[in-house]
Amino acid sequence: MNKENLEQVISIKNLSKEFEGNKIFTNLNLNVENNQIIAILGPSGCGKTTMLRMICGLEICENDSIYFKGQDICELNSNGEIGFIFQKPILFPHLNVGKNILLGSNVKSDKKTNIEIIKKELEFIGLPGYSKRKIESLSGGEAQRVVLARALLAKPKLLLLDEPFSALDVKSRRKLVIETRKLLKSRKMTAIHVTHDKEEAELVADIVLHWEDLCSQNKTE
Amino acid sequence: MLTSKDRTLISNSIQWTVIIAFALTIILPLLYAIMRLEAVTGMSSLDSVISFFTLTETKEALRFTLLESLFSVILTLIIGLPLAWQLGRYEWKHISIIRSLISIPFVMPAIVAAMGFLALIDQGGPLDKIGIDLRTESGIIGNISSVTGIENTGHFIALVIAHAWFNISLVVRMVEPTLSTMDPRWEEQIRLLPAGNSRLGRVKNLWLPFIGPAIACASALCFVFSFTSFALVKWLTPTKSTLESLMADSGGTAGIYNYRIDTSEIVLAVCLVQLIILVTALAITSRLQRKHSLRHAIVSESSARKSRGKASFFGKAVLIGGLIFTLLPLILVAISSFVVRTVKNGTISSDFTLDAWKNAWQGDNSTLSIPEALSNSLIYALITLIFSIIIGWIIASSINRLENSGNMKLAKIVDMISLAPLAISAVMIGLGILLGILRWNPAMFNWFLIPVIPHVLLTTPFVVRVMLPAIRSLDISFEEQAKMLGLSPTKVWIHSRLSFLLGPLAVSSSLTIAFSLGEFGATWILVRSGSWDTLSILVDQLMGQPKFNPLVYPMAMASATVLMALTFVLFLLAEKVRPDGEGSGF
Repeated sequence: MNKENLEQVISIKNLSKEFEGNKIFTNLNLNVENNQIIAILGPSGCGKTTMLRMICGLEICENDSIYFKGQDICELNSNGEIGFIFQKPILFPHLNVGKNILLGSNVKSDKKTNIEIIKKELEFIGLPGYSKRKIESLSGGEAQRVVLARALLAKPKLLLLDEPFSALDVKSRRKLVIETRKLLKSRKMTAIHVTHDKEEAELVADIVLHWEDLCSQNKTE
Repeated sequence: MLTSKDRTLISNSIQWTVIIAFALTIILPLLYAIMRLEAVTGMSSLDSVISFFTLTETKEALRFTLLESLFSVILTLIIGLPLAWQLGRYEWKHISIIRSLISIPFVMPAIVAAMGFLALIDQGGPLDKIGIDLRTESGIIGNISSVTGIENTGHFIALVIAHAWFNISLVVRMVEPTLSTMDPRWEEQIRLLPAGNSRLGRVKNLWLPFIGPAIACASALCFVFSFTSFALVKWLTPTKSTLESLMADSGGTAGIYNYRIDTSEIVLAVCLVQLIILVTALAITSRLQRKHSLRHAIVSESSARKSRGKASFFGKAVLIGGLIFTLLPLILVAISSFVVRTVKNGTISSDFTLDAWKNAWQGDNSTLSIPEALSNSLIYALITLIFSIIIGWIIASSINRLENSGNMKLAKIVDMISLAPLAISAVMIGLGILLGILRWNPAMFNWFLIPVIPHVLLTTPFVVRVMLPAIRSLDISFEEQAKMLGLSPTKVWIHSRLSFLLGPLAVSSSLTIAFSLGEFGATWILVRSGSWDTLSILVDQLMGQPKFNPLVYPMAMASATVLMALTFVLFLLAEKVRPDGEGSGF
């Protein structure tokens, strides 16, 4: 690996979160390097989603404990540098598949170029000809692939995946996990994928980390 | 560049400014009006309330108002409940169209309803033809009048029927969804228990607890609407006054120093007593509404309907009867606009002609033409729309924001402020502006935009009622997703809020325009310059003219038909874009 690849994208030091007086997690530590796909394995309700939401600024972090490319996340203005794929595929129902994908484009292009972008992305995720399809006509797996295409089109420096395949059946999930890893690798993406499924974590990630280990590192030190 | 904290601060400041300005626009004119009336009469508010119960005129108006409101509620329930029952429990083809047709009366301008019922009870009208004479009180009604000794029974009955016509959609819209979403297993279960062996037992143990709050809530609203009805009272019971019409009639000369102090005393006393009664009635309604919403939505509507199958012959008869009752007065308005009655050789003959339409379209020296009045109405409606939608949306967003931040008490207060114009009737709002602003500053009489103020105040509560549930149901994850895609704040707003609110926005816009077009009470008090008469005022003016010209009556009907057609189109538009699940709302 060269030096650039080893650059730290996200660095979390002693991150804690409380909600209405209850501690969700304490002293969480995590480092993610460029082009790495990290899977965090943990039981439901342990705080994985909250951590992802804190990384991308959707949840307020009380102390300066999250650094994105060396910059405190609290001072960072969200401008698409961090992408997020939610558990439930969020596709805007007033737009068709193609227009939903285009929301991820950072550059304003003419109609012809936009059609080309959509075509390319749809082929990339294995859904050619879906551009004009309505959102409600998509299956769960198809919807999640469109979400993935849109997230990748935004070219984020870091992609956060919050159990995106949990609503799918086992067979579809396995297939989509393998495809997702392929897509992420082909675009040299840095990603944090959280899941409670061990097989899914192993299939998608370069490194699998256990939630308990992330939270206890500091204590053992 | 603005940070998200800055944006929140700016947005909160704008929201509070709008809420405070809205509250002040409601309260200040009324407060000034009361102060002015106190100064003119030399009486305190408390003395005035006490004097209310010593004046014959006010006591009689209160008695009549309570009586007509009570009878109107009873008749509304008698007609509305069987309709709601049949509509809510069984499978019907084209149910959305049936619902829409039954809802038409509620959005129809009161002046159109008054014209419809005048046509219904008119000599030679459908009721007269079947031997029911409500106008001159011969036949059956004459007998009732002579037996009971009640003066003008026929007019009273016509008013109560008209109020029932106006309010049945309220009962249907509130009770029907409760029935249509009730889990059929509840009914099956109660039948198998000793408490549900008899029909009475099932009513007592299942139906009353289940639909009781919805019925009570609808009854309370019917009471409020009948209590504050103005155009119908003005035209159907011209010899009797309700509190609202007494205030309107006395308002023209009230608030002037050393002139007709008696009218100022009446307006002050009636205004305060009506305010107390309406605030109490709306507080009860609000309490009942919360109770009603707790028991709502148990199973999907279609599955519950399927389990009960199609309606019986009786059910179909009830529904057809209901639809005829709903549409008949409106059809009669349109027909009457083409009928010119003339007396030839002592006999009345009716001719179908377009003369009334031609005359109404051209106008004359005393009244505006239909196009002129229509354009005035549309100008007022469009200005009202701009203000009401913006204010209503901002207030609804504030209530939602306060609820989400756990500030429930403050949210409730803002909600109450948004509903306040409903507690202060149209005539009271009009009088508030007349006495509270115009008497202090008469130059403003010539300002053509004055009627927009009451229109905005009276339509904003409906915008808030339509927008609030829609804003509450917005999924925050769309906003989060849009933010995560790096979209600009405007684009985030468009894709995660505006796109989801287009339906409710269209519904509230259509209703706002419809209510503004049909607003009568406040406009009647405030429009002083003839060139700014609206369509509903034109109908009233034409009806007020001496009837020696046979074209006057059909001309009024022609103007009412235009108003009705416009409201009908707007209502259809609102129904077409009404989002699923919002059917029970306004």
